[in-house]
Amino acid sequence: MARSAAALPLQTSLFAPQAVAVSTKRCSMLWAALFFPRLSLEVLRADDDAPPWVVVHEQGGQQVVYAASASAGQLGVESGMALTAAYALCPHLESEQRDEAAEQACLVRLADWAGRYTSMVSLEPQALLLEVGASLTLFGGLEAIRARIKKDLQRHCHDTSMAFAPTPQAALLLARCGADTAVTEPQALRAVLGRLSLEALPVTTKQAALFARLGLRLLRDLWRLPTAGVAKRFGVDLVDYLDRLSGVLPEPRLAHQSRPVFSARWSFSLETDNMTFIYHGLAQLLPQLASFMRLRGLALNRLQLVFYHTQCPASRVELGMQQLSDNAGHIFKLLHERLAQVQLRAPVLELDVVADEFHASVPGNESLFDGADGPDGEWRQMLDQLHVRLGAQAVTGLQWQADHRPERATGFGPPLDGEALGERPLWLLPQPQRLVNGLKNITRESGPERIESGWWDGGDVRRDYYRARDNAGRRLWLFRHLDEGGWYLHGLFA
Amino acid sequence: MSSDLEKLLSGHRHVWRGRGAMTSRGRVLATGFTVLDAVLPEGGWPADALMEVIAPREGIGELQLLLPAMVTAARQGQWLVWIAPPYIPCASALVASGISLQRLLLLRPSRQEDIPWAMEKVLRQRRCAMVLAWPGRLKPVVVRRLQLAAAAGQSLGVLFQHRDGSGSPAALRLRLAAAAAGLQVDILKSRGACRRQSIHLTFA
Repeated sequence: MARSAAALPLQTSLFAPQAVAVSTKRCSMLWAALFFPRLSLEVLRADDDAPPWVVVHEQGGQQVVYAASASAGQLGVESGMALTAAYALCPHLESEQRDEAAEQACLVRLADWAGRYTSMVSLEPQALLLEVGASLTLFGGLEAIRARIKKDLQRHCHDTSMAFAPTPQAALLLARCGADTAVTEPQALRAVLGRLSLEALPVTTKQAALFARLGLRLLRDLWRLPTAGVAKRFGVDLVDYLDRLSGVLPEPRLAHQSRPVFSARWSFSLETDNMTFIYHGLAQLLPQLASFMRLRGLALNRLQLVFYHTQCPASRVELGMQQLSDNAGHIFKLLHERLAQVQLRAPVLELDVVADEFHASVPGNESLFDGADGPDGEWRQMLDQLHVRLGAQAVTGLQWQADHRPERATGFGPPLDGEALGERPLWLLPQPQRLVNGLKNITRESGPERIESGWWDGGDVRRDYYRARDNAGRRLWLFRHLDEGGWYLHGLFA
Repeated sequence: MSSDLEKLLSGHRHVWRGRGAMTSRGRVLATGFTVLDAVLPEGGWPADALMEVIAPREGIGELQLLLPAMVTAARQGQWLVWIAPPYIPCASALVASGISLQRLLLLRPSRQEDIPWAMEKVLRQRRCAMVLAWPGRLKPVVVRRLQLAAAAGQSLGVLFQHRDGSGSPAALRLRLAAAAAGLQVDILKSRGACRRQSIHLTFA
């Protein structure tokens, strides 16, 4: 930063891609930035020639235009404008809410695709950074790789601007400015960047206002100022950014990793519907899956088996688990239970184990001593087995619910404790059962406890509850319906 | 010599020595009723065996009998599992008696044959103190499997039956009958004792 910018060689061929001198020398680092300026529009609507429309997002409680379609742009609508202001310019403007998740998903898809050019693909908002320096020899030079990326990009139907530079931030900045350029020499970088307008820098509005007040227009103007002053006026972050831009500071970047997918196949020598052979195949495949997960620190809770038959199309069996697992033995046990419920459509020739939904594995602590409790994992594995065989609705806890009506005070679901409400029997009948003979052969012991509740939600209840005993010695919980006067059995003090 | 022999025999619960001589104590769950603790040969519910409770009908106090033991187990943070209960257990009543619902697991299999399967799975878990099941009629072979699972997992399995199926391999078999202010308990069979005994319990 202390060096004077004037001492640097100026590159004359700025923004003229064809004229850029491409060095034949192998470059140590060369970053390609692919910027998708219209990504937020493209993920929402495929064709843009419809009536003028904008993508809006909320900013400070106000709907603000995030991106405008070409036809809306011609009418003067631009991003950052309030939606009401945009309506004033174009009364029949259509608007759609921004879908950030779709944008991110689209970017991840593009990053997966870009993996064909380099192993180092990094994600930025609306942009991708590719380190292509190492791939130049393979693809036959910069021009070749550039032409190839451009050609491949056409199939993706995204509006793209591309730039090459020795540092990732410089490539990104050039791409954002729409400069279809390639700078290969680190020495040439400052000259190219120096001519960019300061408006292009990712700075806050306050900093931008300060640039204007100081009369700074180009990046070069900023570079001419002493570093200490810039740090004081604009913050250290900006100085850091400028250093990373020009390559004074290195910028390590996180590489995008495509989603892991596991797929393994077992072929039987003969078509078989004998489960013993199928389990044998599974026992060979599952350890492969387990080591795949171990190596990557992953675990899964969803797995698919695909059975291939000769006569009919392939059939699938899904396994869902309650807990994440990376244990082959446990998964095998669950598949055993799952397959016991499935009728195979036809004899099986080949078997695939497919898993494409992985999560980070969180290994639990092993207990130091073999306590009487035993490890928690075993209990959870057993719950998984119960879930698979009995069904999720059959494995529950008991929920205390805040309601005075006895039939609504207990629910099935994740366990939930509460406080005791009056004297209640341990057994509740699912439906109150009408005593046809009234109180014949029944002696009342205590009561009544009046429960009157639920008029607000349509489940109105007006009852007098009694403890009673019948001839057989059962201890009953009865109530008298206060509206119709009938007697009902509702519980047993077991 | 005789004291060595005595020690050897008394340490072995599989050696049955005639009336009342069983002194070996396995892990035991206190029943909460002193009368009952005194009569049961091990001094409480066996904590690693299967027990059969024959009650002609529900609602005569069959859960009251086991409730103190369940409360103790729940306080120790162990799991209680109820399999295929005939009615809905009332959350409020359980909370009132001191059982935390956090450690209560309810299994409601839709198929009858899944009940013993699930019971065996749960019994083999050491984190579980008691498994209560209402399985309907079971073959002696199945009961024996459950008995072995209970011993392996050191948990108490309780089977509720309406009728007395003879020749059951359960370690403890009780028949309940309603009494005036409590429950009549007939001990039909218990590991390490030969006599049938009958006692009367009163509930608070």
